[in-house]
Amino acid sequence: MTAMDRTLNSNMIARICGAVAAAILAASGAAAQPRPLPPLPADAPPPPPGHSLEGIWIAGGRLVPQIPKGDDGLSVPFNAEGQRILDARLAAMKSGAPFANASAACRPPGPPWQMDLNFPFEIHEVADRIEFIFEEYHGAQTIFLDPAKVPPESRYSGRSIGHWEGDTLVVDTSGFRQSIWLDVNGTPASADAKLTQRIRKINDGGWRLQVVYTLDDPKYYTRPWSWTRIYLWRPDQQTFLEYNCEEQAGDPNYIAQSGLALEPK
Amino acid sequence: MNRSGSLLLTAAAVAAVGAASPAAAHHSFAMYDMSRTESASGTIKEFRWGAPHSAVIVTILAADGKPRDLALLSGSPLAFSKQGFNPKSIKVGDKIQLSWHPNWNGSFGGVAASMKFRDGAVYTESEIAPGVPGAGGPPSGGPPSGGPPPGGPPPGGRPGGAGRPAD
Amino acid sequence: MLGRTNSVTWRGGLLKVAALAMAMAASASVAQAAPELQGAWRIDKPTVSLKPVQGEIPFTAKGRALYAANRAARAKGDFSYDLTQRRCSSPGPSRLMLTADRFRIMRLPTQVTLQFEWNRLYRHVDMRGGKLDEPLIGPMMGLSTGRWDGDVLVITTQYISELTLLDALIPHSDALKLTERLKLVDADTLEDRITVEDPATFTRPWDASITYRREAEGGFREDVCLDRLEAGQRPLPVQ
Repeated sequence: MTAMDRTLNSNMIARICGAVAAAILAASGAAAQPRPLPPLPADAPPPPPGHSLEGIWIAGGRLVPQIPKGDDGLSVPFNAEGQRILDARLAAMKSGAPFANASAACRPPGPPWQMDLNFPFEIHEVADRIEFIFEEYHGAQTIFLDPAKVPPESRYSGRSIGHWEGDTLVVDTSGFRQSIWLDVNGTPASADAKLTQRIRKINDGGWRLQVVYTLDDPKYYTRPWSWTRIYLWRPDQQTFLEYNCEEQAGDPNYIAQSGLALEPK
Repeated sequence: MNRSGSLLLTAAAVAAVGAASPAAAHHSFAMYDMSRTESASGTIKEFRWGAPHSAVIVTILAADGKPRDLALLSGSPLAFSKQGFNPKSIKVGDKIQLSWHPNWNGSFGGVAASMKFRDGAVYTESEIAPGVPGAGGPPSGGPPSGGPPPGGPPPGGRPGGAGRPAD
Repeated sequence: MLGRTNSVTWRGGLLKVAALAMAMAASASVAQAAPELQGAWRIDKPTVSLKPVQGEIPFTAKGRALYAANRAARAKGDFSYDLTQRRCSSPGPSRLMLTADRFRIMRLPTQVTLQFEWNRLYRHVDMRGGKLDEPLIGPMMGLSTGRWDGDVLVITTQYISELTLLDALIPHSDALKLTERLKLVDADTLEDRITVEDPATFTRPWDASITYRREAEGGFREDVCLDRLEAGQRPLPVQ
């Protein structure tokens, strides 16, 4: 076995560049495709049997900068406040001084941002917890299967309680430390939001992780709404690239020099 | 000294550093005024390597003659390697001739356009070459270079360039 | 930009087709090996210093000068040599193994992951038995490969960025190579025996040893070093 997986091959380039290209082109309305990952090697191992989600996954396909509508085919059900916040964020971007958010500040962006960008993540099932590790922001999310063990404090990533329904892991996350951006355009979720993820493996021409997100956030939406994402099984992406954003964000001058604006509260 | 000395392109040019900046995957050059270019000579104070973008801090003399640290977006190790540089050979203290496109909002920063080193080697930010959509134009309404940056350039990395693979 | 291709032109032989050949034999040995290393661990005797198991650190003249300079700077509260203390930048592998917080060892078929409570960092250890290619720029954590030697997990780490320190003070060059032997002393005690090699900084290889106690674990806290830094705290203990 060579370390060719470590070479800067089209695989890595695709992953690094893909999301970039996708975001750029998507913004202009083009049907952007990220530079594709090369096919999973034929001899790559499959996921573990049963409902185990363990292994390495990555968002496939193009990065969608803004969730276009719900799974019901209807528009995202913003209320006036939710729409106002999104509009302000879009306007800031267009003005040449986008708002800084958790992402820009090298803070955990929370789900689903952690999963959606084209960076790999790994899932471990350990005792009565499920641990996610993300390449992006070297993120970590603990899903507690024993509700008694959930910590009391709020977290950037929220507090996640999970239970199995057959082959589906149902994760309920609340207790966000601050409001989160659901996508790169800034579809909002308040700190009081309740986010449910229904996660399971499917085989759809290849092994996938299907996640149905449901957001219950009366502060910004008129009703709960759902959207679905598919992630690819990619054991070959096991060695993550280092995401040492603190080297930049720890510089107190960073935001001021970045060309970003601070979002009004 | 020849900066392209070591034959990096025959060795496996391995990437091990990823996004030094959050949100590297969803940025554009919307933060920068691509229609303006400023120049100065300066000294490299720090390189913060990442992919698809790095950041470089250059101490330059501001208009009032006082040294100021200018933080700029720059290329990844591979981007430098493709132009014949060994990224490890770029050192704190290197004196350079620098040009850059400043931040739209006027804050002291921007994206590096070119860096010329003492030995004559020049690094050019290839993603903002003339002809790249968004280069040289104001970011008015849905700029072609503009992906909606998710809250801005994550530390050290602002992906950019319409459709250009960063590296 | 519609229609603009994402083509990358490469000079020379840079682009290699990624034909991954998974060493399933290697992964089989991982699957069977020492599951008891898995779990959460905490350092037995908190310290910021990596101490040799015997004698003094065998510095070269250059290494000694750099070490002395770091020490003098620290005494004045000047952390210009220490990107972790200044910015929460990743401390690198050996300094992270000195963490006063917990870490856990988890594994997938071809990888061992050490996940740290401190700032949510992790180390990936590639167990596929491949050769490490030198990166253009080494990451703070370096690149690690591992293998089993009986019940001992042997981790080799190279290409560690020179912007890190071996511990709170010890400098190193980009020639640094760390070889760690992680093994159970008993069911609840883990030892990391670290061999440090760096001819630019040390006259010969030298060993350090760190002992950890197993902790029953109910999940790590969400540690965000930058928040602590902004609150005026030091990212890591100073002494």
